[in-house]
Amino acid sequence: MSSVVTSGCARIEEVEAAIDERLDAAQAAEALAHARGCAACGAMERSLRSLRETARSLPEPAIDAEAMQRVRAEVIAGASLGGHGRSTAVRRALAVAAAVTLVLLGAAMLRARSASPRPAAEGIDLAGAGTLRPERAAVYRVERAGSDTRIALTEGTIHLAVEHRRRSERFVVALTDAEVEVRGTRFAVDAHQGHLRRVRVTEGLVAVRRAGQPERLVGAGSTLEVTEPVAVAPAAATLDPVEPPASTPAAGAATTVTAAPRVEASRAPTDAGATAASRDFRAGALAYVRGQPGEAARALQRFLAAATARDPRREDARYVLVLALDATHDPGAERAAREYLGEFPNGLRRAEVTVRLTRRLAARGACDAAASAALGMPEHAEAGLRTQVAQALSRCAGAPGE
Amino acid sequence: MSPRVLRPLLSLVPEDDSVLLQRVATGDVNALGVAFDRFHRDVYGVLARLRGTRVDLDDLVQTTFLALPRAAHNYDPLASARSFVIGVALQIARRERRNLVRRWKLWQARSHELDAPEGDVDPERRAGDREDFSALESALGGLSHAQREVIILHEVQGMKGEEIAQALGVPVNTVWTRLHHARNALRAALDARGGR
Repeated sequence: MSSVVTSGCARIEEVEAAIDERLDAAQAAEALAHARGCAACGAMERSLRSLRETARSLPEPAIDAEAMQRVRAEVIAGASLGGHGRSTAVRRALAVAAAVTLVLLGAAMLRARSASPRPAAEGIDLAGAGTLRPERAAVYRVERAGSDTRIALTEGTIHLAVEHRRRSERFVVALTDAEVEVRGTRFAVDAHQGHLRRVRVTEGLVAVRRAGQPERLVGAGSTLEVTEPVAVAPAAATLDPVEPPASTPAAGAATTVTAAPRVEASRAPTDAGATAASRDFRAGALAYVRGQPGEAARALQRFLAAATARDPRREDARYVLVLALDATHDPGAERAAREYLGEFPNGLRRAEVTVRLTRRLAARGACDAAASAALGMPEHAEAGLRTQVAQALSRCAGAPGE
Repeated sequence: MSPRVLRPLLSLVPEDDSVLLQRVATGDVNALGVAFDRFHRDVYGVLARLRGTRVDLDDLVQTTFLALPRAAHNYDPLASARSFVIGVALQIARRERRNLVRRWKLWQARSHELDAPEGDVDPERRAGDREDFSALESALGGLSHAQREVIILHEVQGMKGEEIAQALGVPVNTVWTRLHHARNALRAALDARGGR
């Protein structure tokens, strides 16, 4: 493209206007006639035409027709769930799925608010693990992975009746500063702003692990009262409180629902470690922004393995790791999403992560798990995100055998 | 042509784009499917060029069409339907970009080691470095977001000034001013690259 156009003529903008078809035919012809005899205007005309020619000859961005068909199907499904429209056959078929979905999505939230009076004995069935009865205004989320159940409690009181658990099955109530684990019992947990306030046990025995403190067992008829919160950084409760964090991203078939345990909060990082972590974080951030999700995922996994529990970049790193793995269709995205939700039960990105997790689970036919994951959708989440969760579930709900 | 607004709104197979969008606004899922078939290539093309990366592009296309039934309530049947749909996509892209910029700034703030030159760069410009773009595409990556929008819509997609004004929701004179500055910036960038 030739350039070197300087404003050497008062009429140079007329030429641009003519090329842009802003002038009527006579004015345009006159301006272009002028350009033929004027060096500056002639150069401008050639430059503009050359730019246009180059721009129009750019190849069309390659489009993946199959991916677009999937997108189209999701748009149709999503719009059908959107609540306004005609009763086409498609709508009617999807309305059923939508109803199921809304019930699933709404159950935990409605019950959490519990504005309407409910019989005291009524509880939410935790699919064989037991029942949960929230008190008014309790805020919590239920996650299930295989035979493990995790309830993230933020506010209020929940009453639990837990069926007897085998050793391999775990049932944990997680708070930001503690976790309460049972094998089979009846008990109630009370929280305020994510912190543990009280555990009251009616039957059986529960283990209470507060961050930075030894485990305490609370038996039937006993109540553990917390008078002051532990002064440890918000630590994700974990289903695996024993093992130290792996220094490399764990591979394979772990059934963990949540993040690696954050028990090393008091360990001071070495300078070398901090530098390496910063380098990995930076590399991961840059790679993702540059559109290299594979590289981003590797760097962020290194960062997460090396960074301390208190590192404020962890949430970003966990979130972007989910995006990066999802972008490369890496099956690890599912685990990464669970790890984000486990480590940051009140994280800023939990709605987005829940969408990704639900989609992934639904896509591989794990409909129960997808429905469970969808329960974690924050009730204030954007309508668009809620629709995406609903449509992921509706695909499962509509699948044979469901 | 008789005024489009007088045409029956509920013809079974809307041939006319403006009728199509009006049917989309009523929540007609079939019409939305037809709108997807007609416009998704434009949406995909504009978004791909604007962002310089295809990461999450499918999601943006999906979000655009999911937003369309509600957005179409504001559609003026006398205006171009294609511009309208592209305008919705641009809004979605801007929202996504704001999130990206916010995230980028957060990273900057939190990462002690970012050196200044890289830290100051618009993340979308960085995204543009990724693929083997032509000189023009690379130079586009150096423009501001608003300038890139008008160049892509006008020079690449061939949209008219009025259509661009409608898609962007700005006066048409603003479009011409932006275009003028964008071309100057583009020329300077191409000169700096030695006309590659």
